[in-house]
Amino acid sequence: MSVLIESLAKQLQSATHNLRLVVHAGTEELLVEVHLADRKQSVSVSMAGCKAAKATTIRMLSRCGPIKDHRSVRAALITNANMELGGLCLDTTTNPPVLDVIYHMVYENHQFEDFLMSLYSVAKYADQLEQKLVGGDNF
Amino acid sequence: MALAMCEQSRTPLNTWMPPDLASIVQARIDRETDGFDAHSQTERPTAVRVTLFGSYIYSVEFDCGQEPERVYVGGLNNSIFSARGNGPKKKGLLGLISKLGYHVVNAIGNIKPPVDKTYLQAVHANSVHIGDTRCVVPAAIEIIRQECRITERGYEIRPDTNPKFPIELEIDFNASGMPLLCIRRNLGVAERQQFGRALQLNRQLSFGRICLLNEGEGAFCLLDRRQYKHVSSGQLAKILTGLIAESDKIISFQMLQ
Repeated sequence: MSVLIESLAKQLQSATHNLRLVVHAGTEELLVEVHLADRKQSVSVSMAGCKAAKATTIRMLSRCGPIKDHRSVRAALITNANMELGGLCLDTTTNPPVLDVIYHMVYENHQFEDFLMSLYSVAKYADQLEQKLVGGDNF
Repeated sequence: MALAMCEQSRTPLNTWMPPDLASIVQARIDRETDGFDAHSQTERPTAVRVTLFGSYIYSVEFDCGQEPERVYVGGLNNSIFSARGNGPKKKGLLGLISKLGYHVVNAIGNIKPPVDKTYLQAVHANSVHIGDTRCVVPAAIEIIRQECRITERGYEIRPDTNPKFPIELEIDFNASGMPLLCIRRNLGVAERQQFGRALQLNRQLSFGRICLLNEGEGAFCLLDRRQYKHVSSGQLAKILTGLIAESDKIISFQMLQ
């Protein structure tokens, strides 16, 4: 496991006894299951690099559901203008393509409180959209 | 700004004691002791002590942009109280200005933490936007060495690489009144056949997301929002550098045309 991912995993695991989170640690990625009221949402946490800024970022990605048609694409772009943290992106490697919520924060000198709050925001928003798109609780 | 107003108002609003203070206190005692008899087998109050705290209140009126605002300063802890309860409720630009005023007065008027003199001096010197209470943006601009000017709503950066597409930075607020740092760059006319491509590109960006403004009419825009209190100037410098480079690529290579 990369050192940075391991460090994040340790911070999360020490915080989980106070929070409703389940952390599954992979080699390059964490899968954090966030419990929201009577539903749950998985968020993939990994490290990414921004070459231009010479920065390491924490990348949070959570799956919402399949996109229905072109009007949904337009609606997603309009929604992006109003979202507080993060935005919607399209994964075209699947059939049908799916919508994800994605958010990056700078790793250097990050605050754990900020990371945790962002994680919850991403999970909450993705779960709300999943409810609208598919109704169930698959992700 | 608001601190100057405080200095002018030296006399508190009220210096009187209510004439019926005794009856008010008696009514409060009666309310607090109501029900004591219910536990008379196990306990019995033998005395009641009443402590009255003296305090003060000032009304502070100031102009924020074109909008007059008023807050109250007082209480035992020198707290700031809005005339509107938890904060301004207006929507739109007036709402933003009102919220900005509330946010600024809380930043400079609350003695916990202490008043930041660096911020006050920078506002007076016109080197920081009044909403940037932690002076984060000028420090970040100094790191990335780009041309920047203060605007009514925040800042405008004209990147060397593509000055015709400026970047705007503003302090916005969420529904709970929490300040958000908002970075925005216009990417050009929104072509309908590129909507899918734009949404797909969001997966590759390091910061921000491509969106459609004005309910889908007009232009694509790269937008980044994050909580203002958590952003340091060093982090903001990296965010701006990454955002400028990646949006330059989208514009120059006409990836959305």
